[in-house]
Amino acid sequence: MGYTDSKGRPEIIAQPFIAKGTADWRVIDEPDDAGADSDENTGNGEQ
Amino acid sequence: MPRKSHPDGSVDADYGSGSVGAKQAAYLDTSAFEGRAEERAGLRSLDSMVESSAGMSRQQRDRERAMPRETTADLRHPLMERKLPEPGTVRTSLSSRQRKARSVAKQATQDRWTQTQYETVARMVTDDGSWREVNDVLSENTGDVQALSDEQRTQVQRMDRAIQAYERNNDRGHVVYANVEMPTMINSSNLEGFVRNNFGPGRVLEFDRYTGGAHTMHQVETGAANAHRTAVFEIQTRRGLYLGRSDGVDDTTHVLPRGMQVQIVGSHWAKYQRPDGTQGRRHVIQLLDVTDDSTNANNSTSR
Repeated sequence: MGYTDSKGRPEIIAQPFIAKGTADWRVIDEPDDAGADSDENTGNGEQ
Repeated sequence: MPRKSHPDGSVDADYGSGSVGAKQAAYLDTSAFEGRAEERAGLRSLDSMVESSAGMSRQQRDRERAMPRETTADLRHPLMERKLPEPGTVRTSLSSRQRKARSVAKQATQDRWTQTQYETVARMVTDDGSWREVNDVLSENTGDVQALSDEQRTQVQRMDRAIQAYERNNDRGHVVYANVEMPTMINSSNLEGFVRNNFGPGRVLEFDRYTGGAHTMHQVETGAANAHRTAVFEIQTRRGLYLGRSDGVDDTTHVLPRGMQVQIVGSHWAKYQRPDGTQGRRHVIQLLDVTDDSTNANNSTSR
């Protein structure tokens, strides 16, 4: 059962990005050196 | 039609009628572009005058302003101000702890919303027609909510207050990703050049509209139809409303307020990692929130 607030309202779910990349998109952009930077800063600051 | 590299006009990154999932950049006649910039400067000046008016409560000032004030809480710790990553950095998912913390804050904020605020946010972020209608009229009026009809102004100010309710309790920084579709003549072979020519470092972009984005680059992967002409804004800011979910769901949606000013730091091809371990590559335009808060007399917080 999902979250509801104290007023009984369900959590607002936006999901604006449901049109995820297609197979073509992923193939086109698959890098040939995947993982090369995996030990670098994650780019997301605080973890 | 203007040439892609030397357009006979200026590119407004937020002029076209976009969706929650993507902004639409468009060419504007240069004189029209400059005229709109002057209008915005005038509106910010008026907001400053509203803030300095004696005898008005903060709520009254909020109602009279053209653009919403920043209301973010103080940063709890310097490490919680997320910074733009270095160009060579692989962008990864938001940590479980961060998603949980933001989700808790989102739920606490929703709990405080009035029913009308709740309904406005829900309609705006789930109904593409509402999103376009509200943002289109904001864009037509260069972000001046006072130029809207009573009904439209009420809706926009409810959305503003709902976002501000989150900001008031947000002690973190954000790096938010948002798609920007370039004009239709742009394709995969000239996207990089178009960005280089029209989104140079130092330029300040104005967002008259709200911005739909996410905290992870993989979440804003776009469909194949427009992918070849879609870049990604990577925005460092403390503003906006987290609408994602907690640990169990890959959803880090975030809505940024209207009336933002963001300065271009640079652009480059950036790699990102999906939850399944595969990697992608998108052209990123890095932006720093520089919204002029000198109009915000009551703001004692840092961005």
